[in-house]
Amino acid sequence: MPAAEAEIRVEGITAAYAESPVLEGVDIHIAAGEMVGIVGRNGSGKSTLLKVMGRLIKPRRGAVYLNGTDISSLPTQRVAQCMAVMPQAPASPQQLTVRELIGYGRYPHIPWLQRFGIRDREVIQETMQSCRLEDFADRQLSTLSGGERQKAWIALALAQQPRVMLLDEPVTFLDLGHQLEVMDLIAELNHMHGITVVIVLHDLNLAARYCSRLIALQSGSVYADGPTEDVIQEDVLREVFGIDARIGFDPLTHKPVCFPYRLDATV
Amino acid sequence: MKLEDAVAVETRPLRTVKTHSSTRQFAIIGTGLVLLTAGLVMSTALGAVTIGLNEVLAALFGEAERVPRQIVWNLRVPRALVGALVGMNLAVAGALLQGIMRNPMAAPTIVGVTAGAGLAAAAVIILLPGVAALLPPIAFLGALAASVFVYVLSWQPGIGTSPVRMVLAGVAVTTMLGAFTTGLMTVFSDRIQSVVLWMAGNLVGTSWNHLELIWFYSVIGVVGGLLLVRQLNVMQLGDETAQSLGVRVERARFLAMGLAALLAASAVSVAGLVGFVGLIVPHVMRLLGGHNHGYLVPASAVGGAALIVWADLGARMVLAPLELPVGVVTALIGGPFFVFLLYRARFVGGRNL
Repeated sequence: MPAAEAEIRVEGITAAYAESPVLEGVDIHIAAGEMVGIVGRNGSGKSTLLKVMGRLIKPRRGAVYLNGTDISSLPTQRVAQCMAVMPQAPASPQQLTVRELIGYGRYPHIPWLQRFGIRDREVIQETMQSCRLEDFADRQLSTLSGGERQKAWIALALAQQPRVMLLDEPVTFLDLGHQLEVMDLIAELNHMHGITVVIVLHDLNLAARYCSRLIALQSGSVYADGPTEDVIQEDVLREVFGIDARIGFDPLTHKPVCFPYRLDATV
Repeated sequence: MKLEDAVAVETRPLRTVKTHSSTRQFAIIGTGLVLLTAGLVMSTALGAVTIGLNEVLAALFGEAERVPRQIVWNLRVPRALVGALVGMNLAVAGALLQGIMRNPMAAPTIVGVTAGAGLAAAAVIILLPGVAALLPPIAFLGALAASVFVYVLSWQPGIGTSPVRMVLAGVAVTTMLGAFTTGLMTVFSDRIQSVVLWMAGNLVGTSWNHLELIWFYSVIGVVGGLLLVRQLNVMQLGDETAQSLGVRVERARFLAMGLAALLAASAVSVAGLVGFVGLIVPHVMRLLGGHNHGYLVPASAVGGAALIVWADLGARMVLAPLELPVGVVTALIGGPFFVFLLYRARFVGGRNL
């Protein structure tokens, strides 16, 4: 499943649900093929940023450019052909089977009032293989474990054959084993298919392990943006999360690991 | 691999659930059509006067004597056809509304359609007695006005509508309009006889005029509903996912809501407040044949039509010569059947609502 590359530029985004802005003056450039993690406290605007990038929310000011084109000028279906968004804890109709769910990923590619073609069936099959879901193809979502269900949702996004995947906390409610399994799958899609991945994560150590670059949001603004080692720093963590933490390095992966030990005493 | 195996062992004992095959879905719709046709034929033959099938046929082809021809052609045929359209409209409206609101309780009663028609009809019957001809169009307008009101109330600037806001606005408007209706009926308690009859929903005195009033909306509503099938299916995944899959969610919801309002408003304008059909028929069809709207919309259309035709037949026959309101009979037939399906689904242990 080859995917052409895609870069995203976020320029001067201000977004709000009611009066007070959730995001203010956010500028980000994400290069093609990157895997970028977004971290920050609850309510810092992570999900909103992801939704603005995915064109689910219109920003008050600013614009998002996909390969240089303002996404607000593109038709919804065109955006869906390039970009897949996986919302936080998506609502799944219980009776749906894995195959049916993944089939919906073909929606943006099928013209109105037409049915699945041979190519669509092939893509669905390939997607199930990539996500190792063949054994679950005809199982209903309600009978799956949390980890399998998340993989099914990621497969839905993959079936869109997107060039960009925007994932909002895809592993938050999973046990450690399933967290690694799902994150491995996402990293694989990033490496093998060249899909640009932007992922909101709560677990800093997971973010540090899988993302080469992190963006830390604080109260709707970018506080730090750079290589993971530069963002996982004691002063950044104190400012962004209000915690005192020690930073070590994982002996196997050589990625930074943080050991939080108390709330920041100075706050 | 190991991890996956462990998970598989943990969850495998649940039998793999068969999905509803399209053969089964065709069979359900086909059975519905047979039931509907049988109901239509029976409706023309049975009643206060039983007319043999030969005579019915003769009447339809204009060769019978005057009296049976009158009864068949001017009373029973239009009544059966109007009943079928009313049932179809209500059930399709329910299927569309449950689809866009992702709420099992969604039905024409919830988006204000019924309450709007009820208030408008009560006002006409009580305040303008003697202009019965105005009743259907005014009830129709009342129903549409109420649903527009609900839509506007559920709209948030910059964000749009959401299923939850729509349901809440619908409940609020329904309660408010219901209070007005009750107030009106209390003040003019000497004139409420025919209001009560209308509210219960019935097909007494339906004629070819009524058919002319609603067939157009039935066609628009059902054809429009079928054109929205794909959007409705994708919208089951939630607004955000649907939008990221390329569905213009707000537009689809507006269209589906508009079609449902037209369908339900036209139905109640000629038959009064026949409740229950719009809520239950889509559920029954879902339990029988699955959640795909490509099946659900036509199946609800056929099922709703068949239910009303048979219920009206029952309403005319059971206590003949007295007629029960058809709305009462639909509830009496549909209620137990629905409960039976729910319990069966629970014990078989597969499908959730």
